[in-house]
Amino acid sequence: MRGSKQVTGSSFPRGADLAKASLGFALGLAGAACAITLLFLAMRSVMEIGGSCASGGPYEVANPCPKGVGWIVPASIFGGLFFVGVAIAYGSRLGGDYGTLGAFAWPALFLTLGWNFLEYGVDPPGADDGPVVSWLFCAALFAVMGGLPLIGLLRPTTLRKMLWPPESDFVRRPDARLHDARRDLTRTLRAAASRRAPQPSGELVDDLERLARLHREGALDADEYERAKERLLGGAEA
Amino acid sequence: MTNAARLALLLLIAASIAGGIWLGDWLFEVVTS
Repeated sequence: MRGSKQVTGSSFPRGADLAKASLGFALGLAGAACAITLLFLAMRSVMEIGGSCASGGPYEVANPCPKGVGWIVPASIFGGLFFVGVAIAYGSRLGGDYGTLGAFAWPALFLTLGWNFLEYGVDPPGADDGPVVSWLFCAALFAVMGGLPLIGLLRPTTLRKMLWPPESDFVRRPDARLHDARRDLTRTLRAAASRRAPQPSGELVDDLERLARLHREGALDADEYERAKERLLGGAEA
Repeated sequence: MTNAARLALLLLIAASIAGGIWLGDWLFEVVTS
């Protein structure tokens, strides 16, 4: 039976569900990668002019921000968070551990920004007095913050579950099975109702008697009784 | 889930990340130039 196979089989989505989950997952990953790239480049452009800048406000700005950076930074932070959420949500719909891939955004963010601190800390632009200790400290801090979770994420078993999940990861959870069973049952009932399958005559007589009793007892008025009877007889003739 | 589906998803992941980095680079050029 088609329904029972769906209930106990793989949780990997099919058809339109698969297309939607894949598209959302791809969009989330691409958006997150785009946001982190923007943040990385925006940070470099600020470090290029000494590490801090300002724009707007009533005061004369000594170090104006490079064009666009003023809004690229907040937009990429909030946009990045949004897209990581999208990647995790749609990745989880694919089943297995695909959703966990979104966790790579954390080490990606801290290690790329940490790299900027390291590069500009070792060789600051326009300065002759050597390394900038505070930036190197930030580089070390960011390396630890991004590196430690990355070590966890790069364990072969974890990585494999995210990129090439085994079949056992697609076994249905009980709540998902219940959800599918309910959906399948609803579909089956709707299909049966639309087909108006002929009923065995014994069942039809029982139904007619039950209708008549309801009518006698006053639960159905004459009009409702007639309509229900017609529907029953119509279904039997179809 | 078939191996073909796994491979297709792996390629989709790689293409999405690469595409996102390219888009970010391009957007930055466009916005700051």
